[in-house]
Amino acid sequence: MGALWTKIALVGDGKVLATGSVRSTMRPAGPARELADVLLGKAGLPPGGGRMAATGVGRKNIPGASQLTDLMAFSRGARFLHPAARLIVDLGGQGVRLIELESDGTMSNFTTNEKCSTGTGCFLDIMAAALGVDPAHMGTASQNAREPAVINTSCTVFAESEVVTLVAKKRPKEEIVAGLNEMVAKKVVAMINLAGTKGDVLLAGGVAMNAGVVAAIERALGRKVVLPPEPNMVGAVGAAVSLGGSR
Amino acid sequence: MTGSGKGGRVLRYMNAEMLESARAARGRIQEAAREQVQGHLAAMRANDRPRAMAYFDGMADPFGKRAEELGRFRASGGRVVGTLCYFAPAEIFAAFGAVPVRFCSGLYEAVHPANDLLGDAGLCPLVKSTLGLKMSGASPVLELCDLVVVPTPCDAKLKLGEILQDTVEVHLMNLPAVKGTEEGRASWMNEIKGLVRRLEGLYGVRLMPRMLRKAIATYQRAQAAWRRFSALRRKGGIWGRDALLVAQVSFHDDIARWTENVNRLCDELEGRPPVAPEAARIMLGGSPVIWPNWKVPLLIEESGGIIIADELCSGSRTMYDPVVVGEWTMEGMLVAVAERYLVPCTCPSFSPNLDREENMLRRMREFGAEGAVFHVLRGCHLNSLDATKANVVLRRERLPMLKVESEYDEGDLEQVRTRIEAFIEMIRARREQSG
Repeated sequence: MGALWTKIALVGDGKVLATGSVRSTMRPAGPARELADVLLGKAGLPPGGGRMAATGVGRKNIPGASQLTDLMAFSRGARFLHPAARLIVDLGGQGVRLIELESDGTMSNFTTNEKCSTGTGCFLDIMAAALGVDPAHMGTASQNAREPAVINTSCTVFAESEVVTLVAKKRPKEEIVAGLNEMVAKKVVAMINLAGTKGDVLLAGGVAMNAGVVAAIERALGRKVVLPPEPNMVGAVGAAVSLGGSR
Repeated sequence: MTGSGKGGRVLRYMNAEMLESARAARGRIQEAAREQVQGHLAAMRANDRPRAMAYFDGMADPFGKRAEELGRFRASGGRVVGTLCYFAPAEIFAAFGAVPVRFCSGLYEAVHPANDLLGDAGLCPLVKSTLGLKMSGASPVLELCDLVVVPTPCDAKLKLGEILQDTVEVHLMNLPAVKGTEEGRASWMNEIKGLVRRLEGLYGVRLMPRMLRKAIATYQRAQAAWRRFSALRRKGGIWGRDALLVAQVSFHDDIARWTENVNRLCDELEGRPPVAPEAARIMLGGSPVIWPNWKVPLLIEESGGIIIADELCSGSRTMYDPVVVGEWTMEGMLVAVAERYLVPCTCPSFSPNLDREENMLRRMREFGAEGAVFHVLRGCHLNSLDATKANVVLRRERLPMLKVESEYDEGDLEQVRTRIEAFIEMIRARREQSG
């Protein structure tokens, strides 16, 4: 359960069978159960079956589910999806988190952004709204940019007015989007460099679905990162995997 | 625009309406403080703790028993001096027969009156709360003070000392940023002498060596008791949240009585088993944690950790270092007092501040701490920067550190909890892996 979205992954026989997401709400238990049943149906399984584990900020609101913290879920999910991962970078709705892993998959350290939403999904959503771009298209919207605009401030409120100013100056939208993606990447790469990991870096979280941010991260980092097929599902997959023992 | 404040003081920055509205908040601030204090004490008592903590619980209400006692003391001609920092030297006040009371505030509700003046400018909440406390008149003890002594370790306290002069007599002490040089020590020594002159003028008394000797001896006993207590914390017989309360009762208590009660607590701790042998052993550092802003200590200890050691100016540092007198002359004693407050202190206002990282490392090893939580009050840039430095140094030694930023409200409680829970879980995973 993330700050913005509740993600569900159905895992069985060592595979991810189905995934889905709903907006996180004050009363998440009902919608989560409904979605779980839809996913079970897709996999040809009876509703209400299986076992459920919950992770994330609202995990305690899911009755009957076993609980694990986000960190544990991400570690398990990353190990399941890409065993060679040594650093998980979770680009979530309200937070950026880095989890460092030992070669056996246990956590050795983690860092988070502080109480500031810059560089998170919320930040990009607000910028998308200011630009009149569909948030889901923020990654592709920057593809044709000739030169990314420079966004000077990282504060959400001020960055928004900077964006509005750039629009008023007739700067092409794709260049502004590219500038925003660069800014987010720069902040994330600074955190990655501080962690100093040499091994594989796995990106997770909804913002990792933004191809522009991912490309900018790889450019700034000077190497490739690992992008799972559904980066927003890493935590959910990890929660599901935790029910099945050590693998 | 100026107006007239209490006791004929000129209002330079505040105005009468602002103060009136602050004073109207007095009851609300007191009520909220009591609620917070009682809530925390109930949570703290629910666990296994030494019987000798009862004394410190009794002193925990900032508007309770001790406030009444000081009220009577003042009414019978006693002297009370307010201080706003670790650096205000208690021995000097005590030498004049004055009781020093440290007013760094941990009250959430007191932030609001200060916001009327300062706006919501991302300033340290401790400083805003302290200013709001004075503006509202909510602390009966602060209202008794003849003088408030404000050292200037950071921008926020520097300006607090300035603005507070609308409502109370203030003595600023210019703290050097570079303490390792001859010049730095000499300038601080001058500040100590300046404070002595100020108090001599205020009370019409000349400071005599025997007065200072007696005060130093009284505090040396307190410092010895605290060091004994600090060493005993290693065995884990007491929760960190209780240890911090013990330290902070010294902010306003009768120091001889406090010493006696700390020693009583130590006697009990000698034979006590650990309160939470399985808990993750945490070193708490960073911005001052001031009662009843117990958010971070309670979250750590509710999430499977125990604060086994701290490096807070509101905790271990309060009483840890003794005044070491070489020569019992007036000059010798003043030098000893000056050095005691300057040299061992690892406040982030100093540069370079290698002592801080090294002390953290040394104490973490000594106390078997498995990780450090570095608490930063929102707006405290100095601690935020020291957190970055500490993180780099601790990481090199493979000791995990979590930096948590917090404010004076309950709004960030769950966000901070999530981070602390995850941090402690990681420490446990590391432990399983290595053991």
